[in-house]
Amino acid sequence: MTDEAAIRAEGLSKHFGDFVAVADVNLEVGAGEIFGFLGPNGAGKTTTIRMLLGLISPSAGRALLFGKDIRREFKRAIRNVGAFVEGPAFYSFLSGRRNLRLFGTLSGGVSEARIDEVLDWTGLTAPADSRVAGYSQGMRQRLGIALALLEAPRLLILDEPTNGLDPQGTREIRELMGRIRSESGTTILVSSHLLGEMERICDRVAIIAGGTILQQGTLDDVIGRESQRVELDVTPEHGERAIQHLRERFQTDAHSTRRGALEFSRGSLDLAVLNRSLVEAGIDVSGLTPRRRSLEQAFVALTGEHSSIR
Amino acid sequence: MIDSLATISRLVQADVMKLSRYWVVIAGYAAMAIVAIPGAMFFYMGEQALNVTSASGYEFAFSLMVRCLDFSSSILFVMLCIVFSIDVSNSTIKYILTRPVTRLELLLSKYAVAGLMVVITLALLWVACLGAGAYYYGLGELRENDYVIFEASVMYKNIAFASLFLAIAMAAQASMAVAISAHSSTMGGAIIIGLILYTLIGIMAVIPPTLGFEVGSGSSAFFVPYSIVAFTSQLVAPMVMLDDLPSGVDVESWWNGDMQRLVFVCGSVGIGFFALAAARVRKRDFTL
Repeated sequence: MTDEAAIRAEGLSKHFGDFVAVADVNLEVGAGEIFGFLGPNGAGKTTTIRMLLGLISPSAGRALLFGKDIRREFKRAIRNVGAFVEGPAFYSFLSGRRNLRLFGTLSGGVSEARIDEVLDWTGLTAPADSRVAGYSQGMRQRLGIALALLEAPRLLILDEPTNGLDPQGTREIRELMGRIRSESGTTILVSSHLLGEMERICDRVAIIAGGTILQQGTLDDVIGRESQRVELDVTPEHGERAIQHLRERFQTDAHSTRRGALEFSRGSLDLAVLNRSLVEAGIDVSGLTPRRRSLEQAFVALTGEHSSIR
Repeated sequence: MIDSLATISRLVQADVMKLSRYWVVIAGYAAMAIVAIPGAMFFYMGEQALNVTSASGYEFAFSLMVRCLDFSSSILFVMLCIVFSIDVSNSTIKYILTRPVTRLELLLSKYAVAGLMVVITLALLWVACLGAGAYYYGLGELRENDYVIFEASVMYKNIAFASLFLAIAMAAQASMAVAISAHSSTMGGAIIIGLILYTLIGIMAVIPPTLGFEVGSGSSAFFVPYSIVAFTSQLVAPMVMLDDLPSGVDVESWWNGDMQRLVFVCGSVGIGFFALAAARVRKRDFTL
């Protein structure tokens, strides 16, 4: 990638006394990407995001947003960034709309039309003029996202944006992220521990645990294409013959999961060739389904079973 | 520089938008007005009961102002303690710090807001006190029988000077309040710590002015009383300067020893607390 990567973190580290919260994090998020930043609670996601946004100073390393060092050129680096960090926070004695107007003032003011637009996107048009004190957690969460979107940023950094949202709300936020990216080409860095959601929207992901990036890349890179499994359904009486055929002809680890059902690693096998071969061998195939390992499985394999993550 | 001034101006605008709707601030100013207006009435009734009437509306207004400053400065101090901490305790500071705003600009904007609140307080009190003076005794030219002692312009010029020095004295208190606010994580904490310090500093005024220490030696040595720490008591100095004005004695010079001391003490305190606040804000992790 070029210098114009939306985000580049080079050797970012943060120590709090002897405690190492983040160690040597290197990240690169290309313009226009939706990048998932995944990790269990306490992995160092929020600390990394706080360093990316200049909210805290790194103990070592540097962070660049669109090529601008967040410490040295703070104003220029942060100008095109919308952020939602560590949950929503508002003046509860003001309405949602007035909160947006107030924060919009900080960058020179935003139009009422834009405020209406982000309120509409986040489903807050109806309660916009009510005091935030009366908002539910989900509504506050949406208002936080509306605020991050307020100035049509080129880069959106969302830290756990779906916390406190019901499944419907979670889905809406996911769809909103897709819409923002497709309509305005906004780059989105989203941290979450909802792996199912991340798997649906992210182009690339990084997995962090214990303050260290364990892996980053496309979903295929992280999940591992070669680790895909294939489920094969054959006529029950052909089961044993199918296993033998797959082992001898294709050197697979095929084994039976139940009568007439087999499973094997896909590796680099061409499933069309494999299917034709089975049929030519007189084995009746009723189903051949590639099953990709989920992000959650990949995550657990990387971070261990006991990481607190859903 | 222009960019920074524009940023500070936007921050001040946002703070005014917010604080003008916050009940603590509204209640604070309402309390000042509510206490000042009946206070004027009771003060007048007290004079009538004792058959001691003010010689003019100015004399009445100045006496009332001294009393109003006494309680209003504490109310203002409490309000100033929340100027910074309101953003920290609500966690809204993270939104401010992720906009194109430097921490120094943020702090300067808080000081500008504090200054604005000082000016509003003084304006409110003068309106109440001079209004009461005008209502009971009348203002305008200062006269004795048919003889004009001072034109109204002379009176208002001196009131303006007094207000300037009052603003400096109050600005030092404001600087302390904002510094405490910048060190606190909650509004309640800022107010409690602020009031404790405010009271302690006030108590220092009882140390006799003869107790202190000498700085320098020989002919250049000068004596610094311990009571100088009680900088909050400097607030009465400009009003003392106005004491004799209603009886026809003009203020010879506003730049006398008392006012020089006020500017030096309050200026030093103000700058000192600003430096403390700046050091804290520069490094503080406001998201913890």
